[in-house]
Amino acid sequence: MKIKLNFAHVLLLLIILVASFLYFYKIGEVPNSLSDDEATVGYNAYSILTTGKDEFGKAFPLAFRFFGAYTPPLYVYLVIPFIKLFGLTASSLRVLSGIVTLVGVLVIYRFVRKLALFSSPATALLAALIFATSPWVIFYARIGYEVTFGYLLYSLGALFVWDGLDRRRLSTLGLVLLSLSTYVAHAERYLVPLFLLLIFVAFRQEIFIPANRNRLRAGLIILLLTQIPNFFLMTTKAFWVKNAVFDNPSLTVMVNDFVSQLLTYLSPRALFGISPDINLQHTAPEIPLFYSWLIIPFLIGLYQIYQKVRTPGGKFLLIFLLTAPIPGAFSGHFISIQRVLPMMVPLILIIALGLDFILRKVKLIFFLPVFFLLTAFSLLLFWRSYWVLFPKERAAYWSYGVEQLSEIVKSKPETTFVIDTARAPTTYIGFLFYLQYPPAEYQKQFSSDFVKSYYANPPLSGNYRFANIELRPIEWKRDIYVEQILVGDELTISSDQAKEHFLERVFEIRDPNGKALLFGYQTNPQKKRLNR
Amino acid sequence: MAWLRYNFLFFSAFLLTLTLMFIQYKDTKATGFQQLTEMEKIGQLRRMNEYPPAAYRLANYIEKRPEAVIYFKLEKNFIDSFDLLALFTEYFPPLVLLFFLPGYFAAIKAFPKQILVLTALPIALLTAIGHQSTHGPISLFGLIIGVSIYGMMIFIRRLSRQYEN
Repeated sequence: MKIKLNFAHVLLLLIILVASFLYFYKIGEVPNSLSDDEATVGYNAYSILTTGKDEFGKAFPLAFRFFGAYTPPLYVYLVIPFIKLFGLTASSLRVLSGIVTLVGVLVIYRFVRKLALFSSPATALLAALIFATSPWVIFYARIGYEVTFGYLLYSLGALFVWDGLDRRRLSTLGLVLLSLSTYVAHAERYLVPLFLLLIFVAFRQEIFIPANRNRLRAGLIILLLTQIPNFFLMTTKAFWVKNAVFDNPSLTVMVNDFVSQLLTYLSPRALFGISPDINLQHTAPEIPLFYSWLIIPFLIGLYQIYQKVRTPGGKFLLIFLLTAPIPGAFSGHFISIQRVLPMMVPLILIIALGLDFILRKVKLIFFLPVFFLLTAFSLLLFWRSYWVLFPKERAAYWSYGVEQLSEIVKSKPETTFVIDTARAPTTYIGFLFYLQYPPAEYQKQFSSDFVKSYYANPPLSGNYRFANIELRPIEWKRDIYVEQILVGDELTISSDQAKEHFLERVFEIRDPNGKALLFGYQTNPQKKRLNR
Repeated sequence: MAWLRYNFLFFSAFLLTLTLMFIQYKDTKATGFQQLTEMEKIGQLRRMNEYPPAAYRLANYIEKRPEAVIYFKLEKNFIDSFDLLALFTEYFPPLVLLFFLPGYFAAIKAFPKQILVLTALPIALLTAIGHQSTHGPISLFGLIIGVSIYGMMIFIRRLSRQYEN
């Protein structure tokens, strides 16, 4: 028995090694640019590190304003040591997501072993391998913002809660982790209360027993204490974001919107086929969220959960699965797969149930070659999607060009650059990041009144001025009479406009596929005035 | 096939499925597995150029070989058959899903072979011919309606049992 256990651990270690390669290999280079979501995390962490305040001058915020999203703060604070150690780079922001995803592999392994729904000893390892190599998991293990950490902390909390329930106990550690996850990402903020409510109802006979009285009291106190910052935020506008479904004009539209989002998130077509997310920043080309062949164990797994729904493990897994997409379905009018990342672990467990069923019918010796062949083929398709197509086809959606433009801006400190933001209102943060503009200087433009009303979402002009750059829409009547460089895409400055205003193209920035993204034009005020 | 001969209900369901499959076949503009549209050809060429030079041979296998083109088209057609959103918003109201799922699982538990055959046949057809049809995946409708009614019957039976108790 001991030898088997050790062998399983060796295999698990091998899976972790494979996962480490997939999550950390060239982590600073692919994705080949920082998205605005990553840059804002990085710059705000850098700002806290150097000044104790965020980019707007708010000291240690309970929620970061970012672009009006009021993102829960924990990821930003946890990134600070990495920035201190490795500097303000893409890798420093992304490495934390990779580390927690490695913990996620262990969470899956442990869940399968603990849930008492699986009969084959190999299932836990197979589930860990499927999780470690899933496109959705790898993609989000390599990004530098909060969503990955959020869903994995939530899943770890759920694991501890289940572990406690299995022994008719209430896990206070599980409650602490679940509570902390509400400070990582928006989805968990709504998900945790819903999940706990259903768990308390479904497992009331296990939880509300005399032996648990002290744990219940301790759990309640812990929840109340750890949620004090959120209780405070609830009194402000900052808490009530990402619930756009409630903005619908009527109840019918709201229900329809919610149901169609829920159906999309749970649809096998969305999970194993075409990603429904219209934001191309959130996915890699030509790869589904899970490899398509896994639809077979997934469908079998659904049938298995139907059969086992009356068992404690089945009940728990069903609650874990069905609550996960609810905050995402409430959060907006568009499908956003990163808002339903908490579905990841329960979905893998459903797939594992299917594999477990197959393993009961087919001998391991016949099953494993097919499984590894399919996994190898899947990884080949992932290589094609993520390492070949993604850096070239999706670069523009990851604000590609901002880093290159920042280098040009740095090389000409005497020249003013006016950068058009009509189609990219959030790119200012990328320039702050790449220029490593001193946060103390940047914060000066925000008044003390702005900082005082920070959580009330005070309006911002949307125009930015720092270093030698201005980010705003181009004002044609004024800007062409000033000696400066105008920067924009092909829609900002047409060749006719350039000719008309005597603008000279001084640089262009192309994406890795050779498509021009940004053009820089030197103004010629003297010639323009002469020809007026 | 013995079960078909002795079971009138499934024989009827089988016939209905075959009829719907015939309608589906006539109604669908079948996928040309090897034929690519002009746009697809441009995309294929662009993708071939996106690979590093050392992986050109692999690029050819993944992007250009007829086997790969057929595989990707079949895979897409197969997965598209499981479009919950289209099935339960465009063709059926979402409420039907609440009866369909338990009905399907209960039916597959009671009559595994029959339900698997009635599911696999239309899905195989849709995988082969694709989804470009005016009436949607009509070959699946018989199964969806049948198992949803079954699910509704189970629900009513449970309700009445609870009421009696």
